[in-house]
Amino acid sequence: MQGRKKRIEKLLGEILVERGVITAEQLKEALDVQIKEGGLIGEIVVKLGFVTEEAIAQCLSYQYGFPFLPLENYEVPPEAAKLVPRNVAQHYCLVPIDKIGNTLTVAMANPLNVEAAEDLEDITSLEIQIFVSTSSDIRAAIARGYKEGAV
Amino acid sequence: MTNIQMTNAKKRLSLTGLSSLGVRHRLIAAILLTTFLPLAVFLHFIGRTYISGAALICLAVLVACGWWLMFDLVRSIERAYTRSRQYLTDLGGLAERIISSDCSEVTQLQEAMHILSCKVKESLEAIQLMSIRVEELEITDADTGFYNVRFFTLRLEEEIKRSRAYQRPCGLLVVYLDNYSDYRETLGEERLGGVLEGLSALIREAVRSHDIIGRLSENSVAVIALEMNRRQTSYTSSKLQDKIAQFLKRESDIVPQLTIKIAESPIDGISADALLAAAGVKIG
Repeated sequence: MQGRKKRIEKLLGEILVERGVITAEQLKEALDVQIKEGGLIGEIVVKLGFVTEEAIAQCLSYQYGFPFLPLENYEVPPEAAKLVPRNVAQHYCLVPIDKIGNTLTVAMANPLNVEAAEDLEDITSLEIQIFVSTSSDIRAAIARGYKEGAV
Repeated sequence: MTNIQMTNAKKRLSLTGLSSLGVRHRLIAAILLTTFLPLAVFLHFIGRTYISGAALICLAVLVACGWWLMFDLVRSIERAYTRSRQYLTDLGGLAERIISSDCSEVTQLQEAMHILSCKVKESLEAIQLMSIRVEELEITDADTGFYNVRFFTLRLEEEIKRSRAYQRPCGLLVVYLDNYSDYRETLGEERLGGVLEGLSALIREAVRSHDIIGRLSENSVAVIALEMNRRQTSYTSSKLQDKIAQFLKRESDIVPQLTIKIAESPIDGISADALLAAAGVKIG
């Protein structure tokens, strides 16, 4: 976990500008919107049409080495869904992908969310392997994988 | 009825003469002169052949006086009767006026009292409502200066919503001083107040400046550890527990019995009530 913290020193907006995905002006505009309306910077730049979700996910993947996993038509295995409560998955915008041995693989929209990863470790008592994916795909996967009324 | 009217009525009553003692004396004198005196003279001279002319004249004069007194008395009674009737008539009118006047005044007074009582009742209700409102507006605990349970719960609800919007955790830690009653009994209210003040300052220093602190009950204090998950909150709580224990040991010989419970959104719930319940707080 210390290693994970060490690596995350830059904010998403800075990374996007550094990698040339968006301009500094676009970031400033997005930050202004964030101040006024709130919300996550990644979602705001997508909403403003500056970038696509896939571009952000691939940028994070490239920057931090998280593998990018498109979740289109992906079905969450029931045994994996049982490990992570629905409200936790929705709250952190993540979805469990698979459990192999002592490792739980999850796809996250924001792989830089250290606290979410720690929570998953505490809940499951497993090591967490993080993949990056888009918010839309993750939410769709949660909707498919967790039945209504499930925990 | 005015004072002048009352005085006039009294004067009229005294003018009849019926209330004075002179009537009784005159009546007695008239009866004596007209009946007993001639009878006594008759009895005195009964059987005698001679009665002087002077004596008869004196007797006649006295009897005449008696009859005059009797006549005067009758006239006085007639005048008194007439005046009494007049007085009673006047008094009746006066009484009617008094009754009608008093009734309207009493009615007005009753209405005024009713209005006054209504106003007093309204004022009392307003004061009660204001008191409730002031209570509602109060957001801090008087002893510690921390948020009270009602406002703390509102803040917790807001922070949980905010944490959800930003995909961040929201930690909650609750410190219970299990033997609080021992401190109260041993230290007394005044000294306990000083201890609570010191304890409040200590807790403020021990947590981050933007963390939110509230007093949930007399023996429990809670902290909203913003954007902290269970693991991070647990680390903060253990430091806090040590500091509180050391402080209490310095203040008293009583061994502090501290319990700290931790909860986190989203793991333990996504509402303030759920989080507080997970931390062992009984709401309501």
